[in-house]
Amino acid sequence: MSQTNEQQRLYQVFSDALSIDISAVDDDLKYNSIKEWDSVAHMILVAQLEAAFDVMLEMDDIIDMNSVAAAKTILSKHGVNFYETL
Amino acid sequence: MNGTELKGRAYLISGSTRGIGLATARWLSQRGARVLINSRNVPDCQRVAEQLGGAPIPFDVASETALKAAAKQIKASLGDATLAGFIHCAGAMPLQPLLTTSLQDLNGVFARHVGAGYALSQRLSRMMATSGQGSIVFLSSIVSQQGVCGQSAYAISKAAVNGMVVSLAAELAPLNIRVNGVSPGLIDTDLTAVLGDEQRAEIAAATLLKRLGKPEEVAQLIGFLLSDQASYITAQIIGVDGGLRLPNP
Repeated sequence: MSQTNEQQRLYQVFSDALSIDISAVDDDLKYNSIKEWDSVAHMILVAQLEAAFDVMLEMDDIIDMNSVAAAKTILSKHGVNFYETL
Repeated sequence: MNGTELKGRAYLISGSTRGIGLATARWLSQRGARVLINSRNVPDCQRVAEQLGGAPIPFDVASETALKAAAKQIKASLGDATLAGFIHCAGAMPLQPLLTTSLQDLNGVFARHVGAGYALSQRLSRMMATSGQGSIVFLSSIVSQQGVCGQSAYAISKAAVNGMVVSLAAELAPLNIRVNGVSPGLIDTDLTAVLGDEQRAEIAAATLLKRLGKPEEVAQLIGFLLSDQASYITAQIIGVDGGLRLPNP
């Protein structure tokens, strides 16, 4: 499996929404683990993820979205493909 | 007010096929805004949307399932406009004294005024967040502060709306989304017609202006709160009641 454009896009959205350098974004980044990812930024993040991937997240999704890895899992459920298989 | 300032902006008005909601939709439409018309009644919703050149979004605001589906429809109906706000006018005003109001009745009124407003805020504020600004107006009522005999469920739910206004105003301010409430007195609408002529005349006589309000007079305040002219106004509950809250001289 290799990184896809969708993963790059996801990292870019996190970088923009949290106002952090994209190099600081990886799958292990968690909600409230850095000061930039607070409740206000979380709302901006959700809005930007919905706009970037043209999805509408459910409340359960938003509650569960507590890390970059969780965001990938949730967006995958909505049809976003983060992995290319050989 | 500059007539063009609302062009390119879209607003959802819940309960906009009659009364204050309809007057608000007209006010917005006349100023170039795209109006998303809501009602449980599908034909009414389509008729008003057609009249005002807007989009019909028929659903029951008290149903979370219906709201989920409607949120997708709202997004699809925006066209070139951005969602700039919503106005929660949908409601019911049951005339029931304490002893004949079941908890189910109470919960039903809360679902329509409070739950629906909260759920709309959860979903639509995300759409507004991407455009960097927004304005939400909730319909409260003078009885939320003064109380009323025989409509306690209504009055209590509107008091909760006031709490929602100030709390959401605080929470959404960092996203530049303003949240305000308007608190009408007795307005001449279908909703208040249930009070009967005699009671309506008594209330009109108790106002300083000696008359009932018109839906358009509430719509003007709502429109102002939605506009950029109210850009520094948030967390306010503003009365539009002809002076009903003051002692009559």
